Amino acid sequence: MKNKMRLKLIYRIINNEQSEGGQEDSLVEVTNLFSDSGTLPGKTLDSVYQKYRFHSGPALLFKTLEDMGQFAQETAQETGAEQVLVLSNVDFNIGLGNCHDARGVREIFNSYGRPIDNPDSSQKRGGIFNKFFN
Amino acid sequence: MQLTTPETKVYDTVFPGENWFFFWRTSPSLWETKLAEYQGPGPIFVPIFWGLHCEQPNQWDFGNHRPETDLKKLYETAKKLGKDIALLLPLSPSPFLPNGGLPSHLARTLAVGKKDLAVAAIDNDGRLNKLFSFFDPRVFQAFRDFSNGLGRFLSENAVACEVYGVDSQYLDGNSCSSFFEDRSLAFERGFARYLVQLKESSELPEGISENSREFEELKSSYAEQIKGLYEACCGETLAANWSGTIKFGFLGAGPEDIFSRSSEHWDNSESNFEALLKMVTLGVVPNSALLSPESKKEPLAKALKDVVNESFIRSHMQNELYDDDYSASFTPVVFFDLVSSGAGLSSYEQTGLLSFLHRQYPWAYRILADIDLEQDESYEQKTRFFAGADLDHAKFNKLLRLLLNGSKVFLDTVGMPEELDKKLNVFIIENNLNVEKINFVSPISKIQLGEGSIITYQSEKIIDAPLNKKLKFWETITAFLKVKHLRVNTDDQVYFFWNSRASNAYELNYEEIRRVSLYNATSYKKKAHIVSAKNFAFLKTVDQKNVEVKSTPIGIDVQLLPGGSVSLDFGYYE
Repeated sequence: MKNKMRLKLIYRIINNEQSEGGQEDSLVEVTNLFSDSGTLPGKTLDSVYQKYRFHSGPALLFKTLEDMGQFAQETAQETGAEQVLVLSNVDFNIGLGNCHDARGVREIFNSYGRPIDNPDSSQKRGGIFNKFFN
Repeated sequence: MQLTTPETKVYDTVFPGENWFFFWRTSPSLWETKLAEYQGPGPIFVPIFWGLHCEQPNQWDFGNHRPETDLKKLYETAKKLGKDIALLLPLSPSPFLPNGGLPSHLARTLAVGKKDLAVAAIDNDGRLNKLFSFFDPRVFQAFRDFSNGLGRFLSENAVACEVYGVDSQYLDGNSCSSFFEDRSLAFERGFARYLVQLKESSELPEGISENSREFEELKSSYAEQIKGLYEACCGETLAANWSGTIKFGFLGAGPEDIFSRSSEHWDNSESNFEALLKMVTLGVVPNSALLSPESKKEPLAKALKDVVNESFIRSHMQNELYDDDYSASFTPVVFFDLVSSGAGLSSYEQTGLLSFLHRQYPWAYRILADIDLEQDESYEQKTRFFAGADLDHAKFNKLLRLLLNGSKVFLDTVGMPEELDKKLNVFIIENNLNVEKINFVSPISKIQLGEGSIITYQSEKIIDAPLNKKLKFWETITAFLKVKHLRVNTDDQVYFFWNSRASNAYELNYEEIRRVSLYNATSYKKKAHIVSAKNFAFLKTVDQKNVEVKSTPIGIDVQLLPGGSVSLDFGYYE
């Protein structure tokens, strides 16, 4: 059977002191995004992130969780990944606290991650011929 | 001529990396056999596993109840075998120990890294070592008591070996970070108390915001102070044995490594090579204790042996006296020291200096927080870079001392304290020094005193230039140094590293012997070429493995099969 690629994403919520009007609000930062075989090429991430970019730094910052989810989905489409498993740093830390070996670390995303499917991949799966040929 | 050095056993669970002995991983009855079998570099480092000696609060066991904790027996066994050992006491969470080394009753607050992720490392058997914060006041109090108990035990039992503190580090981009630094709740609480103290003593800058650079600097300063307390505590309680702190960098312990090393399909072989060589340039001792035997196969195993050799290790042991035996051993070739304790590093990066050095003299430079002129015997031969932004009086005096001793020094004057700028000008006038000034990308001044010179430049004028202009700038400005070196051209993912040693009685035609070691980290056939140059003569190949070497009039051609490695010796003459 063909091995389906899944991406894994960790994000955190950070305070944004420099928001308009000087009021403190929060931003979402993607701190880690990788597949089972390695980190994703910077060019791929840059091209997907382009439409969400509102600052000049290298960090992957988003104004809302929804934007971040949309970015995750588009990255899956761009890379051909079947799914992205999304996890907050808080959930990752809880998961890490409960595991004891390398296999446990792999399982954190499966156990606690919120899956975001690649719509292209789901459509393919849904086709009648794909049922026979995949 | 071809030579082959004897091979040591690559992997053993009790000797997991270089000269480290994990004595708790085997029965005390086997210590003698294991130590007798050991043939690697000396001294043998024996880490002290705090959690092993302390199962209950305030109760230490150094062999009174459990034989596996008997440090006296271990010391005497090594002594009987004529093996030199040094104890290592972790001063930071240790990625190679369960709970980072802490006794289980103290493992309460997980250490948290820069990206707010809990800190953990995977060891060489695939176990996960979670690291706990050293900022918890209970941890410090217990450490002080343990260190006191250890000091008493060592003196009462006449255990006369040196004890070094271990600051465990990991590679984080282009710099190394200590596992001591963390952003856990324990850290934040301590830092909040520190801020209150600063406020009460009116030392807290007004209007400082939480996301500002100043605030981050305050956090670093607080962390340094707490780290200093751990170190000072060892100095007091282990006075007779205490020999200072060594920074060890653990391969496979970086923040991303937990993901790559827990994956079954992620290839780390190249990143380990890169990390090994980067750590050397960053002044830490690389250690491979966390790497599994599969990831430590050739040629990485050979690179570790070539780079982390005995003379290299001893050069990082502060109390080691100069010894003739080691001057005849190979040590890394270093032409440049980049002195920086913060702001300077980004200036070196942004001006393209690091890129230039890495292209022109790969891995033959060091990035150091400070320089110790007393410990560095070869300081006159090196060129030093100083960044004005992190120059203080002590560093400035060293800079002048280097000039007086005939060294070449580069100084970025941007951000240099006004007082020091004036001091430099007064020094020039008082000594009636010759100053040449030119304008090339940046205003440049060359202050000459005998053989010595200080070249000043302004990084802010260079930063915005395109990379090729930056590289040309550094090529031009360093040309007068006339660094004698051989150029090596390689395919991608062929790593190489230069060592050198003084010539011996049989090599009197040469001033020194330079050895380049080449490693093919890929599963493809690769090529390398060492370009012939005046003042260098090819002498021999050493440890040739899956490699073909051909000498031609224009240089040495090397064909490396997958995993191949070789060392080539050249004699250098004036």
